[in-house]
Amino acid sequence: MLRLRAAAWEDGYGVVEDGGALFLVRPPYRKANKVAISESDLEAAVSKHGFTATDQTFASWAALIEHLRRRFLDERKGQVPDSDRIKKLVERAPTDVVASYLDRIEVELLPRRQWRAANGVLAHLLRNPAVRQDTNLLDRVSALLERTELGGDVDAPPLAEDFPLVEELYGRVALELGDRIRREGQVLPMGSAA
Amino acid sequence: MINFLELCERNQDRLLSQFGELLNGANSRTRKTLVEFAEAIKAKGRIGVNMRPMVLLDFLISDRWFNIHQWAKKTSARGGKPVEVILREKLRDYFDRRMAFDGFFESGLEFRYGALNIGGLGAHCFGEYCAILQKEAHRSCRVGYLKGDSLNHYMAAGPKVDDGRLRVECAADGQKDMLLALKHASEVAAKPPDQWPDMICNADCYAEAIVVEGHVKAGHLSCIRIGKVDFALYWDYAFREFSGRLSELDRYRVDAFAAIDERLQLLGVSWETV
Repeated sequence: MLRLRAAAWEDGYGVVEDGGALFLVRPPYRKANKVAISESDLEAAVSKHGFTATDQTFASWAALIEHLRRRFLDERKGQVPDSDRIKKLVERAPTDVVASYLDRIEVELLPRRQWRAANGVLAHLLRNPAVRQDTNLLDRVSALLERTELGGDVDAPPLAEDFPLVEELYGRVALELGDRIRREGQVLPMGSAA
Repeated sequence: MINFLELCERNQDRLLSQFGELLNGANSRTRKTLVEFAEAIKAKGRIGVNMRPMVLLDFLISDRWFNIHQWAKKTSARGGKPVEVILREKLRDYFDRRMAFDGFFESGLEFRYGALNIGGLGAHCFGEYCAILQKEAHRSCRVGYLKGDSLNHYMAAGPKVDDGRLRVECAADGQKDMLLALKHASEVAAKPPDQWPDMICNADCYAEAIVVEGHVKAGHLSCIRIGKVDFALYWDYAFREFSGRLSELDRYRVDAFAAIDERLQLLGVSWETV
């Protein structure tokens, strides 16, 4: 049995007691985001760092993390993530990040025919001072932009990213159906007609 | 009521004499290292505060660093619930000890707690962002230091403050180097200087910096330190936003990072990855 002893709901952080040991967990809830802490750290978390003391029990880590996720989303309800602000980050990316973005466009997006996604990243990169001041980076961006323009306006459906051979084997309709199921759940009629 | 800054000032002679004794009793190699360590603290020592994303964003937007009492007051003004009820609900079992410590000092309810930092990520389990204040912030507000965590080291049963111990383990800004050299005397010589930042400030061990007077503003920030892995992850999220492959939770998190980055750029404050 796991006990949630304290939480900072708005950030998804939690202090969890598991078999007498205490752990601090936080998003994105990977192994590296679970750190052993002491009882005095728990007190510091609540008394100085704004965590709220609580006492809830959970049967599993999955249930506890799901609870933290849900409370996080409840706390943010009413403030939709600002997609434009997130995308504009690319305009301020440091040089090493820019280089990795260009690699990823070549290796991940273009082979999967994610033209619009690639084009979006590249358009924002053109406004990045690190790109504008570096002719090599600028040349790479321009060359990639030409390739995305040849690709067209319509991206391959997102499922194609995960299963690149589906279209080749079963046709585009399979990709579109897969994406619809992913979005909407069950889309085909269930049970037998009366 | 006790004035914390006066206590720190009064401990100056003791620290000077203890530090002198420490140097006199050490061999020449250790003495040299201790002096270098104390100089590093003096030159690089800054107040660091580990903040979670929404805490840092709130600080950048409101231009105020709130402690728990100020937060409760603000919450009370919004919802009408008495401050004490809000604090009791939030702190539960820890309410009495927090109130006993803060209530022991003049202006104790105004205290803001950070840690002395010379280059690391601080106690990052409490917040992935480590806000580092400029040296100038130390001049525009008054700060005192404790050898360890206030609640962990200086509270006795009751709960009441163990002021006997606290009086000999506090320092004013001018003597923080001696306080730290005395604290880490046995480890300093054995560790290379690049390990000193993590040695003096991590989740289990830090010297507490208590800002007693003055406003700490966003303009006082020197940099924001963040772990390399977290930093890379946020840039990865920004990339994935273009192909619509982020979970709702990750979109909120990268949106907060973007809002923080936007404001840091306006302030001319940079990121430091560790």
